[in-house]
Amino acid sequence: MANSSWFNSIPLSSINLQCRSVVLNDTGVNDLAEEAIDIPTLTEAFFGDITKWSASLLYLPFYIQDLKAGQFLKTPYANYIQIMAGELDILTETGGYTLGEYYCASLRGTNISPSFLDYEPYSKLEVYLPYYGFAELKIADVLNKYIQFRLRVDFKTGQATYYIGVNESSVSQPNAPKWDMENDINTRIISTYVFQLGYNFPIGRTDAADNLRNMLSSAIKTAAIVGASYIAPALGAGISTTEVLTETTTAPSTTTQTVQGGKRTKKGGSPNIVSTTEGGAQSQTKHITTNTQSQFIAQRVNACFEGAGEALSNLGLRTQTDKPNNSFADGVGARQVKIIRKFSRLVPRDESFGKLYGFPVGEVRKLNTLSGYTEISNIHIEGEGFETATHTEIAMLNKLLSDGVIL
Amino acid sequence: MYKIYVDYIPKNSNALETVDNNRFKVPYFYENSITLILYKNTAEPHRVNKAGYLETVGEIGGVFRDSASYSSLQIDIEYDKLIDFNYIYLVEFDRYYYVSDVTTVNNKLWTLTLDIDVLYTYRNAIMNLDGFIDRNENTTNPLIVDKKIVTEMGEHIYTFSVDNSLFDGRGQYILNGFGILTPEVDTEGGE
Repeated sequence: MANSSWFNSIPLSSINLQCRSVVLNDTGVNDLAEEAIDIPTLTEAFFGDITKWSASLLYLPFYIQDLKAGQFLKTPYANYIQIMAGELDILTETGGYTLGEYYCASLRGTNISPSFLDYEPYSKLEVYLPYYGFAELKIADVLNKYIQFRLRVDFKTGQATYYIGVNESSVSQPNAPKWDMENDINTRIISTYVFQLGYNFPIGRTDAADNLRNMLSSAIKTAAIVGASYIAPALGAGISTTEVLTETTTAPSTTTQTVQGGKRTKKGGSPNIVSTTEGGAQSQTKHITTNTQSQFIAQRVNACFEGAGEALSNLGLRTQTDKPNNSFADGVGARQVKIIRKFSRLVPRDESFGKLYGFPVGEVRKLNTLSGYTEISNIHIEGEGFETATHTEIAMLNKLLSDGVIL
Repeated sequence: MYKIYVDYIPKNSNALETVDNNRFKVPYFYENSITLILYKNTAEPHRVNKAGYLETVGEIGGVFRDSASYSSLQIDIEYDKLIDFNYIYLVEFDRYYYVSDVTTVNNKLWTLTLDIDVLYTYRNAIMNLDGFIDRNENTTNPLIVDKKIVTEMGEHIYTFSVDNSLFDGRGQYILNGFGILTPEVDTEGGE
């Protein structure tokens, strides 16, 4: 399916040689997800799991390549994951696909000679490009030619480009696009449409792992930290709610606590008053969140899969588009390149139209080569046969010929 | 409009005896009789070659008694029945004329208003001319925009599919990362 010869792949530089890309299917992504929500080992918690070392998980709505079983996803420190996957050719950053072609004869139907009615504004030619939408083509560019549709996909970013070219030959004679100078024969690119085809799952987006690493680091560093663990009860009416709460965290805590800077104050002379200030200083407030492991996992799951689910709902596999006909309403139609030909409806006319109005000619002709109704805008009435014609008669002739005569 | 008289005289007859010259003491065109060939013309005026549409009705002769214009003139003729022609060839002028109007003067005397038909008069010369042809009944360049066409509101819409199967099946995922795939079977870290 892939036909990368249409496009010049951009070789990766040496600095990217360790950047690897693998192709997964649904099962592989599920395996990845299970790994992501699994209880991390200490190593994983510290260095990050497989997703932490992933730049992106990109979904592309088409088949890319065959996968092989028994492959292992590997990061420098994370556990291996056995998975069904396929390694993308490291030199391939883009995929080129030929989506087919369409021979554009008269827009008004087959076996009809092209005429001005086939062009704008009497006709319009639109193309529906899956996952992009509608685009209007200039008819003069494509009439009596094969319109060829090609797609280039950037496997790193998911950005795609439709290349619409025209060629007097069928795509079965694969002439490369115009910009591929080596192979160009006569395919001419007439338009390109850049759009985002791939959807980047936010699997590496979560900073939950960062949180956990921070937590563990903090635990190690502050093992000796001792602080007052003091929770003062509220002391009744008139007591400022500003309290000094300090708790030493020595491990992943099971509570989430708020430490509010300031002084515990109280009005009214309670024996428990430590100090009293007027106005109460709620100077600074900061939140320190610590999680249990289950909370941490839940956060990760939310980050990964709620986001993904939302993304899927917006992915638009069944693209909702302006429907030229009902075939666009189903998913299959939305995934096909469609040609939409529109043309004006003419008032039916028979041969009498020609007798009354004639048809455009626009060229210099000798009148004895013509017959029927004729309008002649410019003519020199002179020479043999007009020796006795008066000026008035010649003026009459000029007007009559211009208004239309029957030869 | 000039008004002249063409006295009705039989062709090749001795016209002097029959000429009513009470109004003109000296016949203007006395010696030069003229010949009118009468036709029934069924062709529309802007047809150049009317040959196939002319039916000869008769031929009369006469003389001019007044000045006459090539392009438009009036003649009086004696004709003993209702005018049954509408087209005239004036032989001496070598020009064809439409009978634009007919007026009865008195019994058998008619006044005809004639207007020249330059198309049929110069038909042969015309057909040898070169001209810039705007429109023609039987020849056309269909790619030239014809502003005389009449279109209705609305449009025809045809839709065609370009067969391809790229997006038919399930999609796949690409995981981009740092050395994340190895085809080697790991014996230590594999789960």
